[in-house]
Amino acid sequence: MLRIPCPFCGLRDHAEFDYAGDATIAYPELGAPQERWCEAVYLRDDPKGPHVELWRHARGCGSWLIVERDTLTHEIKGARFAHPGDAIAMGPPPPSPPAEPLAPSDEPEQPAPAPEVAPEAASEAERKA
Amino acid sequence: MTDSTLPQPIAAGLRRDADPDAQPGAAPAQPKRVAESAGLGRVDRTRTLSFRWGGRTLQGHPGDTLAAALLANDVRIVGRSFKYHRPRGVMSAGVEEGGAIVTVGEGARRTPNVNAATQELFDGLVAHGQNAWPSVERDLGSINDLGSPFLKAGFYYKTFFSFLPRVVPSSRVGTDHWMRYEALIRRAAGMGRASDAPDPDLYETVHAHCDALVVGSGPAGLEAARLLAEAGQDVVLVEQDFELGGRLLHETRAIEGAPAEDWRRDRLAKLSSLGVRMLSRTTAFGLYDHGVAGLVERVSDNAPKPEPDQVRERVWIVRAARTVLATGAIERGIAFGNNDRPGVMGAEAARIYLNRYGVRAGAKAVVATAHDGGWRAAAELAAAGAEVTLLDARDVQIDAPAGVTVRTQCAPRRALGARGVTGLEIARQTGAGWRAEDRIEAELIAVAGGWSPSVALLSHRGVKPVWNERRHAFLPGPTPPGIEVCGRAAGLEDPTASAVSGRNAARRALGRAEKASEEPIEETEETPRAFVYEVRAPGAPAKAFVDPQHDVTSADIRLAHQEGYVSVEHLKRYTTLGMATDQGKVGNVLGLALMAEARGVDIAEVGTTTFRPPYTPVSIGALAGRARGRHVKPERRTPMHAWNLARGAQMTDAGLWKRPWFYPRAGETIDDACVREAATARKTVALCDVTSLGKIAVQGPDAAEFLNRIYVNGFAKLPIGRARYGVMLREDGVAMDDGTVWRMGETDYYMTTTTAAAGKVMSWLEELLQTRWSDLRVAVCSVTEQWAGLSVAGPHARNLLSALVADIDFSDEAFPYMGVREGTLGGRPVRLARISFSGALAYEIHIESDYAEAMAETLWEGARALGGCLYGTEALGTLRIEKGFVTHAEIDGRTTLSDLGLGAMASKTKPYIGAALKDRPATADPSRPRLVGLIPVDKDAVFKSGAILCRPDAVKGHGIGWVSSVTHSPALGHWIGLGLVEGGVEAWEGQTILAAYPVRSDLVHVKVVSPVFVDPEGHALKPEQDPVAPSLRPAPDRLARRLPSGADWPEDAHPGAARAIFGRGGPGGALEDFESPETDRQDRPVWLVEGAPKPLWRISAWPEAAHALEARLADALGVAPPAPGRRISGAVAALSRVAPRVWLQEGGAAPALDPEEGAVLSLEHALARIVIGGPRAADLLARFVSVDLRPAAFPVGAIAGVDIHHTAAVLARTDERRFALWLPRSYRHGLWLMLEETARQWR
Repeated sequence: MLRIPCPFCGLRDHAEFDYAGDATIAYPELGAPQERWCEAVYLRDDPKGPHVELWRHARGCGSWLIVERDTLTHEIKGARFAHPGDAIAMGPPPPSPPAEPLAPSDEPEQPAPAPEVAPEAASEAERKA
Repeated sequence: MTDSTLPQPIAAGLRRDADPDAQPGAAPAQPKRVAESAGLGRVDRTRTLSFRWGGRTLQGHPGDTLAAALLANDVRIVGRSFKYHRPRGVMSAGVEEGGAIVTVGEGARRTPNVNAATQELFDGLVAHGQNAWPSVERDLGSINDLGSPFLKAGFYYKTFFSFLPRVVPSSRVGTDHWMRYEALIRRAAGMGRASDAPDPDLYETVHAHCDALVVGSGPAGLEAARLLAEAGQDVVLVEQDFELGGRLLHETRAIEGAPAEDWRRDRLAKLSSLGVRMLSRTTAFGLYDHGVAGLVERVSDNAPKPEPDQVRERVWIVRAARTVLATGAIERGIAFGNNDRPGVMGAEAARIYLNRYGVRAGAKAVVATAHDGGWRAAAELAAAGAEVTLLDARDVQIDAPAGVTVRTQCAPRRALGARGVTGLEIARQTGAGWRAEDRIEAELIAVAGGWSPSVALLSHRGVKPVWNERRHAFLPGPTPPGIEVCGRAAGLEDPTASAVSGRNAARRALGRAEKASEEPIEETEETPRAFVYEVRAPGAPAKAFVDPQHDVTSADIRLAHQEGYVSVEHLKRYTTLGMATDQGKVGNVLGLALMAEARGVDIAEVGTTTFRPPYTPVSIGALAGRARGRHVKPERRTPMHAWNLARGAQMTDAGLWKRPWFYPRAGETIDDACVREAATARKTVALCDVTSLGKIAVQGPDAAEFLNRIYVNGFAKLPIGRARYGVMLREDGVAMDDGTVWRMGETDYYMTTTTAAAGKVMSWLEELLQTRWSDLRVAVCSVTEQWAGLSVAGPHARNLLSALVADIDFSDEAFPYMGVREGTLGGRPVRLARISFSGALAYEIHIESDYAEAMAETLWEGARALGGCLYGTEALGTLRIEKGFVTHAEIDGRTTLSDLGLGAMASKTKPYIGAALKDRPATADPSRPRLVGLIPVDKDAVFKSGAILCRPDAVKGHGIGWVSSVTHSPALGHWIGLGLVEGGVEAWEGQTILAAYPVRSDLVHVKVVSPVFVDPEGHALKPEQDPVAPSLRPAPDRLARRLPSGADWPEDAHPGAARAIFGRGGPGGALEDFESPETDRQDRPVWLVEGAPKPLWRISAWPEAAHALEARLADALGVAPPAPGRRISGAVAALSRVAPRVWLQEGGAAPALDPEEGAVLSLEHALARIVIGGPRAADLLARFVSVDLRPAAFPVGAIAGVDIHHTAAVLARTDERRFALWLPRSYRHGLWLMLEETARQWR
């Protein structure tokens, strides 16, 4: 039994997941020529060692994950969400506009957790804000 | 009690024969049990247990194993060997036993191949020897031993497999001989016979989590567990024995200055106070990746049968952050002549029987050794009054212990005695070899052949053992991170040294201590050991066994070498060395040493085979757990299941679903019923439960674009209020599934799939959205369980529905073919689409699942008034075949759109999944098999689905196609079929071909026709005028709600009084009462109730809107925004975050969402809620759910998606001892039963 560190649920049995193959395939545009689709659909490496692959936490949070697993040792280096928007949603909220005066709060100020998203994702979030 | 397996006269004779001491008082009750005054043994002599061995009734004591009790009663022959039928006795005192393999139990509980040396004795135990006839005492099969020169390694293969006609002209080819004689051979050579009856016992799996798992409870294991627990670790300690302590249970040496028993008690008390979970009678049978271990707990094997509702065995799947192996070591034998005679056993075993069980296995004993350990056995046996001769193969100068005659440079050459040891021929070392010397009398030969550390569990993790020259043993190689080895398993001998090594292992496991801070390990000084594995003196041959259980001798090893099977893997397979139930625990090292000697290389060079799980045998029942019988796979039921049964439905399996197959009336066969139902659908009106069709909500601003990409046909311009039939392809261009999409609103679509592909399609849509098209703002969610569907087909369909659904205009103009409308039935919202899978005027009407029964009843009442009927999947198939509609019999993963005759559907103006590869030369080839209609030339003929279609002149090979579906057509009055034929209708129309069914020698001439048999113009779909109908009673004002509890479903009758223990859903507010904290049933260890109905909303957010949306949702409900995996309960509703961008809201009103933020959807009817409470609630759930439910990992307020019996569910902890479990409602029935059956063990 492998244990996969789901970034939403924590460490879980691989029996909760469905395996979905190589995560590094760049699928072409739908209208791309047949040759490129043939390559994407049929050509796969069978690496001995590090492998980046897709797992779906089907009987968990439902997220599709990109998992780095060593096919020789089964060592799992890490797992992240396949959907970039999941990392945004799990990251800190975008800074709110400082216009309105703050209402008194009963709750002590909590330091914001360290951002877990990649810098480019964070800056994108900032831009949108 | 009689032995029911034997004919009576023989059984009676046996009893007379086998019990010569039957006269009362004729012999001491247990002749080999030492006097109580000697102070030996930890069995409870104040109580006597009776057990049966063969025909005899014998006595033992609590704390005995079966082997100990047999030895105490001087039963020497307990089994017959596998191949030669040689008499065998007890050879060890542990899992390595190769002689005392017996059958225990009777009737359905008869269990063969039980290790008597580990089987706990209990009152009423029934056991007998096996592989013998009529008995182990007088076994006729022992004639094999005389013929044994022919039965050596490879005999069966050479004799039965290799006579090729070329060599022996009269011989048949290959395995033919084996096929003829196998049954005879299997009967002669073999093991016990299993019961033929179904296993009457229960088994289960438990998921467990811990910080540290310690395997073995000897000095090393106890100390490792203590240190780990003192460091705050949550520790699980497992011990395969029924008592904790390992070798401390028979150790006479002091450990760390204290008597072993005092030390043991002290440590166990400490572990207990530290909260260490200690599991005895539990074997760690496998070690797997990432700290996962498999354990099997023998819960009830110490009793004739389990207590009611208790399991016999329980498999634990433990996830441990770190593992310490203190698995001990196993004593080897020495290969010498007749070293398998009853009376030959390990020296440590002789100590164990003496010190732990108070059984002295022989009054005259010989101890054979080549290391200091044997001297201890000799001294202890002598102290217990035995006459002891010690043979040490070494030339050593050690003071002889009191009462022991020591002979150095001597070893056993040959055991004497035909049915058990009566003496021994001694050999003396002369230079390189051995020379026969004198004979002495002996009753027991205790052999100290050296130790083999138990490294099997490490081997499971790929650790190769390393040969150690000083200790003459394979020691563990470097361990992977998170695993430590200590004690005897690491090669240590002294108990104090083991204890120290256990503590060191704990320190290493904690990663706290540097190498320097480990305690030094000091072993008692020893005289150097010698490695003696065989004593081979010239003279009369006698078999010297290496692997006694599989009858592998030293000569067999040499034969393997001589014939070229020199690699360790070949040696194993050629001789079967190490392939018996003990898996080479005793014999492997001897075999490897002999092979090394034959090859003239070091044993390290020979290497070892890999040990694989399980370490000791595990029953299949234990591995299956509760997943057997009706629970072997989950069962899905529609909300109309009971209603269908009450209307006489015969059910059929459609994947996991139960679906109505047909509804026979009195005297009807399935064919009669199917013909009537199909004809009714064409003539009046018929209703079919189509709930199992997959239904997926597709929501969001980009939903149209998304659908347009996945279907071959255009979806971008589907208007609101319309449905469209669509086909989706796989990426390789092969058809994947078909169905309809109903556009319910601007951003809301309702997709249907086939029953078979619903899960696959759902997963595929998610994959596309999450991994490839993350820019699309689309949410998909299965709503198969939320909505129940009825198909209403036939000329009266509109008459029926327009009478009952008053707020929809059913006229052709208002509600055309492929239209979608929403309305109400009995006050509940319904959605209808005018679609047809039968070619008749037809609608599908969908309602929230709790109202499905009421809807069915309402429609059925009207349909009956119109002369209608219910129809099942059989008639459904008939109707669709008549129209040439394809299903998964045709969309079988090999067929393309063109193959299915749907090529014209494909859009030429937009790209879609599969578009590129569907046009590959191979998939676009017009000569591929394509959909055709088939009718028999002889109209009375019947042909079969699965038949091969052939040219009339070439009935061979794969033919030119196949028949995919057949039915009797009521419309045409004869059988029809669909099939795929090379070139399709264009190539074969009007021609006659053959449907060949070679398995039944069946050949039917069929004519190829268009696949649309009935109404090709589709007049019935859009009738000009509906038939005149009588006026129908309108629908009731309010439909009754029916929860998925099913308490009164007829087949729910379940043995036992579940209701007395568990609450169950019922009318009158009982649900609320059970859920309120005041009525928590404190008196019950665990209880289950059906959750009361409550609104349930699923909210998904687009990435950028997630934070703001969550804040708004929380604010609206007056709760704090829940952290990931947390549920926060407020006054009106609870809000949970169950996925990165998904929230569940229980209670309250539907949250208002802007489509630019996300999507909301009700799952109130989709998920059944079961509330599980009581102090054992978490234990019950751990039988199903692999998630860590320890309070620190899953505190109050935690919520998570979980896997329960292969089903995706959601679990929340709502207070310390209460959980809520949301299940897809179709699975609820079977899972409730499983939970309930499991919960009974705590009654």
